[in-house]
Parts: sequence; structure tokens; C-alpha cells
Amino acid sequence: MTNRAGSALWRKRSRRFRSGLLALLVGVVFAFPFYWVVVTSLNSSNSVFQFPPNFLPGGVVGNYGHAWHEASWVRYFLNTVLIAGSTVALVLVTSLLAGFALGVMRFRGREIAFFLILSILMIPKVVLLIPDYIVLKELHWLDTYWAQIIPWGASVFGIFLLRQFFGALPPELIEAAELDGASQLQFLRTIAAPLARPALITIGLYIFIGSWNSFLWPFIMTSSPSVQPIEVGLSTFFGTNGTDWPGLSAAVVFTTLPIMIVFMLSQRRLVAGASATTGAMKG
Amino acid sequence: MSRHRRFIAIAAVFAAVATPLAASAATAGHRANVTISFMEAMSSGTQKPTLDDLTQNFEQTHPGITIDLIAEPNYGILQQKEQASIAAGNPPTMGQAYENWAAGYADAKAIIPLDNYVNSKTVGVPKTFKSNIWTGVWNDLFLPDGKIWMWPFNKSDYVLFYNANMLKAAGISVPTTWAQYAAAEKKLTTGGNWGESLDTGTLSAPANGTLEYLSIVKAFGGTWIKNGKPTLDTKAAVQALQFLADLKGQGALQVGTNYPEQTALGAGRSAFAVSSIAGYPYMLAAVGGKFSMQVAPLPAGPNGGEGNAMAGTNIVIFSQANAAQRAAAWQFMKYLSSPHATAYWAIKTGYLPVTKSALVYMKSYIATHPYQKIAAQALQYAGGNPPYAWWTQAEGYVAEAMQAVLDNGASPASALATAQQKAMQAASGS
Amino acid sequence: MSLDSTLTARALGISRSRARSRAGIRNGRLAFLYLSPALLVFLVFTIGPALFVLYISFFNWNLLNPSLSRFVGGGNYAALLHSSDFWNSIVTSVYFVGATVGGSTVLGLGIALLLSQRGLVRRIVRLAVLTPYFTPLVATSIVWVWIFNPQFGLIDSVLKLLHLPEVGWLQSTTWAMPALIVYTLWHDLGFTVIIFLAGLATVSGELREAARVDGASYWHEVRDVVLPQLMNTTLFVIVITTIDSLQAFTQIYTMTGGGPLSATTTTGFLLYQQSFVFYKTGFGAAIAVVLFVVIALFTLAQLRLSRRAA
Repeated sequence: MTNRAGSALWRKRSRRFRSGLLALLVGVVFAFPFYWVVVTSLNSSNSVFQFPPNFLPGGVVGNYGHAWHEASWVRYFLNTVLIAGSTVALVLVTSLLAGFALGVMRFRGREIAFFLILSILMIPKVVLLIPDYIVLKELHWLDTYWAQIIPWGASVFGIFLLRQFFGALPPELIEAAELDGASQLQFLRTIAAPLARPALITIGLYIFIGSWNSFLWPFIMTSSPSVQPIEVGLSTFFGTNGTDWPGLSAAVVFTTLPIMIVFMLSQRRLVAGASATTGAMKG
Repeated sequence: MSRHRRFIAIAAVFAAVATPLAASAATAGHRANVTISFMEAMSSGTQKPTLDDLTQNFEQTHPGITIDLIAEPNYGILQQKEQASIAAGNPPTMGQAYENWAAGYADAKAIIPLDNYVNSKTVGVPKTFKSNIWTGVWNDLFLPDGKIWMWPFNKSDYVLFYNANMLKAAGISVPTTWAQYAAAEKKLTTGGNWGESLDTGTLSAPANGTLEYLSIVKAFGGTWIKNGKPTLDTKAAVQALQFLADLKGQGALQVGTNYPEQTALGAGRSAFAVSSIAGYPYMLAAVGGKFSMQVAPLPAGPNGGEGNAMAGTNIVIFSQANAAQRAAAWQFMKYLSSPHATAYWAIKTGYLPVTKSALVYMKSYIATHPYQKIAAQALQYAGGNPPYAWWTQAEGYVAEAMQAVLDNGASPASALATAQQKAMQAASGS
Repeated sequence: MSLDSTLTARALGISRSRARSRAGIRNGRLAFLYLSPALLVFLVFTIGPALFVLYISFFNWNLLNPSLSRFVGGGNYAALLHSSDFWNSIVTSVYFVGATVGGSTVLGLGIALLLSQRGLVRRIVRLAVLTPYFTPLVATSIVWVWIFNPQFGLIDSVLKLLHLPEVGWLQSTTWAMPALIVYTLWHDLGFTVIIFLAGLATVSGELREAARVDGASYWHEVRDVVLPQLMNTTLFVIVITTIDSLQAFTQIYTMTGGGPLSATTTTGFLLYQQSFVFYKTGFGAAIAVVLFVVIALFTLAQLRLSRRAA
């Protein structure tokens, strides 16, 4: 009896140990390329080209100074945060309103409206670049923050998610609010939106990263460093005649670090947010 | 020590730039204020500060003209942005452009010919200019209609970088013909080392390797185009591709992406690298003083045939600009090609001076950087992109044929026949 | 999901009134007002430009000077249907999208299962898995070009240690696509893992415990208890990774340029190449239109299927 229990415990322990080991392996696989970026950022240019590769960081801190002076990073960074932050805020507002209409309200053409919005996802974005450039020019928004925020201010993904979420709200909740005499906007603001906070966090993350990663758009739509995001700074390291590996690596490190720290601080909330969202994924 | 000397050389050139231009500004007289914009891709390394310097110097010596530099990160994005701005009806005043871009712009009447400025008695270039400019660079300014549509700016061409230590150890002298080159590569392919790495490029983005091959085609007596049509499958072209395929088969040539020639040479694994001279600073950084890196002209073909590809762009003026802007843009273009300015640009960035007369101002620099003269002299015969909009596609098909042969083991003749057929289709397409 | 308990309680105590509900919060009178901010953005920056693209797909369009454009009717479409490049790109897209969607679903779930327990190691590993998602695509895809380098790269160094032959990953028509997929998974899996972790948090622990007491093996437990409860999460992951991988562009642009030959030219990339590199604006527009129709049909089918399944 004790023997069997002991062996069960042993089995459980060893399974836990094995899965822990596997988790660690996964972590190493994912972290290694980033680790290598750090190593490269601390080595001299020519030691990058070694065989066998150099897996230990050197002490060439100077790459950071050099990379830092190459571009006005603080400006770019603040621009990125401003652009991505405003885009997220705008997306949340437009998605809440549209998601509410599609998920809660009853009106003719609801299904059609939803499918039309879904179909926007299927338009290949690349071809819109030049028409959008023309539109932005007509609006006199070229080379402004607006050009980087407003066109991305509505998200099919966000609307889709919130429609699902609101559609799954218990009817009783809505009826109770009606009895309290709440208007639609009041209901959305005081009850539905707070309940949807987890979904909003997921949407926020997704949109923020999308905005953070945009590459072609800022280059085509803007020209002045005063409104440009961080990618513009990064691109100075892979010019037309070669790549400055240590410089690029150092820049990747210090541009990724802030967002990593933010994530570390909010990891738990993020997972919680995502969990509530997917719970609402009912067909 | 050498850094100190270089600084003095630069200072001397700068002083030389400033004086005569200050004088010319005085004679230019006062005009109404005009602002022009220049869309360019000189945004990395020393290129940006140098262009800033030159612009500032120009503005000081030409009161009334203000220049907005619009810097793009690379040529791909520059091209897209120029297209977008033309399509939207608000192009810049001037922009960097390759010959084949300019052909497309001219077809759409988006740029203006420059003959009236170039030949003007008052604002044109001096009579000596034509004998001063490298022949290859001059020929590169025309479109097939015989008019001048472009003005030279950041020119470079291809050279042979080599690891002098490796060559010395193997008792090999610097190859002057492609045959010697192949023999040397073969001999140096031992003990885990090889001859050279190259990037074939892709259909949408040709690379240094594409231009290395095209240079060999010329050296072998071939052509890229003839009578306005592509000639990608000539006998010389097939021979040139077979030449590279043989090196690949012997393990002397490796294929890679993202400047593999710099990586391999820098690591001391390959003895040679064919690259644009503008890659010199990157090459030097990759080597990092581990050995002596030297530069030689590209080898010649079997009958002494010279072949080299000119890289870098010209400047065009967009047709939306008004008369005052056009005139100011021309002044700026002329200034950038003036001996002092082009010398300063070359010394700071590693691009080449567009005229022979600029070499006078670069004497002390060339003494320490002899490769600059080697590369500049090759501008005499280097060929730029053929000035047809379809060349973009044709060059892509060349890259594709190289991939078919070097990556996939296809036969050069059949790969090039395919490329030629597709290129002909593109050429007759629109 | 946790609801405001007092509200719910009150709601339950009250008789339902359909008529009221129609007159109240569910009233759709103002629906289009609520939709309008999003619709306005879509109209101006997506739908309008898309209609313009549809229009120019019937022309031999001169982007730089529209007055030189020539009407060609269905010419671009006819050319498209006869273009082997186009059909190849469709196959390539299916390969890329299928592998990234399949990969991120299966691996995402697997990794999430591994990381769902508590503990410092797993917290750190979570961070490691998510970090790539925060790195800029342009910069890290260039870093991976380096990792895939046949002579100096990380992967081939390992192969060499194991005395396996070198592979020119990005130079091989066979391996370039897998390499691209590996990078894409590396960069994007973090998001999928987060979503699955979240889904796992809602899986009933009691049911899992019960299965374990019944002596079910780990795999049976996952298959019979966990997976059925994760259907919604999985559907969500599939939708979002499909969207992302259909629009994938940056990594193809920096890592392979669509090559070697056309091994990694997805339809999205072909579109870019024809429109922006080769100036074939009308032809590119036709590709965009056909791509749109294909995806729309595909999505409709997917919706039908998932509805029938549910």
C-alpha cells in the first residue's frame, strides 16, 4: 500500500520533473536567438564572423553608445508609444461601439453588416498603400501622427471579439439594466464595457504590437523624424551596402527591453484577460 | 596617425569647397526665396551627415534656396514613395533614381529632360565638363530618346576585394583575368576555406552577385541589351554562368544572402569577394584588422574584355516643380557634381567622384586609399542599368536564372533561355 | 466568466419582458450610429481604396500618369488565370498558411500545456516564449537570416557538430519555406500560447482530477477532457493566425525576397512584386481582387463548417 502510493508519488514527481525539463528546453529554444542578439551586441563587428560561433558576450559596451547616437531614439520611442497608444485607444472605442451594435442590438441587416465587416479582413493590405497615400494627401495628413493613427483606428478583429463577447451576455443582465432605466450608452459604459475589460486587454495587446511592428506604412506616409516611429531608427543599421550587426543588435535590445519590462509587470493580468476573452468565443 | 592625416585631407577639401563657391554665389545675385525638396536614400552610416554638410554648404553659398532633404531607409522604399507621391500629384522637386526608374517616370511625363539646363550658356556646365566626366557616367545620363534626363550623384562600381595574407601564403598573385581568378579560387579551396561567396539576388531584388555575373558577361564579350531588346542568352552569357556554375561545382563558390561576400571574406574563410566599392567600410569592419584586405580591379575577359557594372543613382527633376524650383534644383545638382563637392562626398562616404578633375582634390586621400582610384577609373567603361523600365524585370529574371543554376543545378543555357523569353515578353509588354 | 452578482440576482428575480427588451437596450434604431465610427474609418481607408483597386483591375493602369491608362476589360484576369506564377503562388500560400496555422495551433497548445503549471521556471519560460512577439519583425528576421547562414549560422553549426551535411536553408527551394515558417512560428507563437494558457485556465480542474482518479493517462486526459473544452479557444487561434499569415509580408521581404526561384512567393508577395517592383498596377489589382474572392469563399466555407459542427 505505502509502496504503491510511494511509487505513484514518484511517478508524479518524475513526470513533473520531465515536463519541467521540457519547458526549460522550449524556453532555451525561444530565448536563444534573442540571447544571441545580446551576445552580438556586446562583441566587436569582426568577431560576429567567426567559426565556430562565439556564444559568449564580449565587453564591447561601446556598441550601445554608438547605436544610441545613431538616431534620436527617445524621440522615436515616444512617437511609437504615442502612435501605438492612440491607435489602441481609438480601436477600443470604435470596437466597443460596433461590437455592441452587432452583438446586442437587433436590427435589420445585422448579419449582412457583420459579414461585410468580416470581409474587410480579406482585402490584401498591400494594394491599399498607394490609394491610401492619395487619400491621406487629400486630407492633408501626410507626414503627421494622424496618418499613422486614424487609418488603423478600427479593427475587424476587435469588433469580432467584442461582438462575440456581448452576444454571450446573459439576457437577464440586459433586462435588469432596462428595468433600472439605463440608456444604451449608459449600459455600455457602466456594465458591458467593464465586463469586457479582459477582451479589451487582449485587443489592446494585439493592436499595440501590430502598430509597433508596422514597417512599410510609416516610411511611405511620413517623412519627418519628428513624427516617425522606432522602425525608422532601426533601419539605419541595415543600409544598402551591408549590415551593422553589433549596432543593429544593440538597438534591438534597447528597443525591446522597455516593452518586455511592461509585459513582465502585467503578465498575470494579460493571461487573465485573454482567458475571459476566449471563454466568450461562442459561435 | 592615419586618422589624423585623413582629417587634414578632409579639412583641406572642405576649405577648397567653400572658397570658390562663396565667390560664385556673389555673382549669382539675389533671387526670390525658393524651397525645394530632395527625396533620397542616403540615410545610413556617413552618408547622411555628409549630404547634410553639402546641403548646408550649398544653402550658405546660394542664399534664397532652401533644401528639404527627405531621407528614406533604402532604395526599395524610396522607389515606392516616389511612385506614391507622383501618383498623388505631390512629388518632391528632385529625387534619386536609377536609370530604369527614370525611364518609367519619363514615359509617364513625371520628370523633365535636362538638356536646356546642361547646355545653357548662363547656367550650364563648362565646356570641359564632358571631357572631365567618366565616360560610363556620362552615357548613363541619357534615355533612349537621346535626351539627358538625369544628373550623376552617388556612383560606385564593382571591385575585387581580396585577403592578401591568404594569397601570399598560397603563392598566388592577384588575378587579372577571370581564368586566373578561377584557378586561384580553386587552389584556395582547401581546409574548409573556399574562393568566394555571392548573393544571386531574387526576382524582386537583384544583389551584388547578380551584378558580378553581369560584369563577367560583359568581360566575356556579351551584352545585356541590344537595339532596345534584352540579350540575356548570348553565348557569352551562357559561358559566364557556366563559369560560376563550375566554381560552385568545385566548392570554390558558395551562395548566400545578406552580403555573404562580406561575411566570408571577413571571417577569413574566402579569399575573394566581388562587391560594390560602396561596401568598403562594411567590408573593413568585417575584417576588423585580422588580415590585410586589398582591392583590385575586376579581372578581364579572355580577349582583355573589360566588364563592370555601375551602381548607385542619378538625380531627376520632377515635372510638377515650377520654373524657380527647377532652376534651383539644377543649381543643386550641378553643385553636387562639381569637383569639390563630389570629391568631398567620395572621401566621406566611399562612393566615387563623378569627374576626373575631382581626383585632384583627393590626392592625399587616394594616397591612403588607393582603391578609390582603381574603382573610379573603372567608371570609364562600367555600364549602368539599361534605361528601360522593363530592365527591372529583366534583371530579376537574370537573378532567377542564377538561382536555377547555382541553387538548383539547372543548365545555364536552358535557364538563360527562360530568362530571355520572359524578359522579351516584359520588353514588348508595355 | 464572473458577472456582477447583485445585478444577476436582481435580473433573475424579475419576470422577462420581451416587448420591453425590444424597446430598450436591444433596440436597433441607433445601430448604424454605433457602427458609424468604425465604418467611417473602413470606408475611407479600406473599402473606398479597395473599390478603386477593383476599378483599376480592368485597366492597363499607369500609376504615375492615370491619363495614359488603357481599358482592357477582363484582360488582366485572363492573363492571371493563364499565369503559372499565380497558380504557383496559390500553392505556396496554402503551404505557408497551412503550416503556420497548424504549427501555431498544435505547438501553441502543447507549449501552453507545458507552461500551465505554476512555478518560477515556467514563469521565466513564458517570458522567453513571448519575448520574440515584442521584437520588431524587420530587425529579428534579419537576425534569423544570420542564424540560417550555411557557413556561419547557428543551425548549421549544430548540424556540423552532429556530423550532418550543411543545408543552405534560404538558398534551397526545398528548405527556404520551412525556414520562413520556423521564423514566423518563433516570432508569433507567444501570442497563441497566451491565448491557450488563458483557455486552459478556464478548463475545469475537477473534471481533469476525476479523469486522473479514473486512471486515465495524461494523453487521454488531454484528449478527452481538456481539448473538448478548448474548442472555442482553438477556433479563435485558427481565425487569428489565418488572418496574420495571409497578410504576412515583412519576413518574406527581408528573408527570402520570395525566392529562391519562386519557392516562397505567396500570393500576397506576388501582389507586391507585380504592383510595386514591376509597375504592373492593373495586373496586381486583379491579383488582389481574385485573392479577395478566394479568401471570402474559403471563409464562408469555414463558417458554414464550424456552424454545422456546433
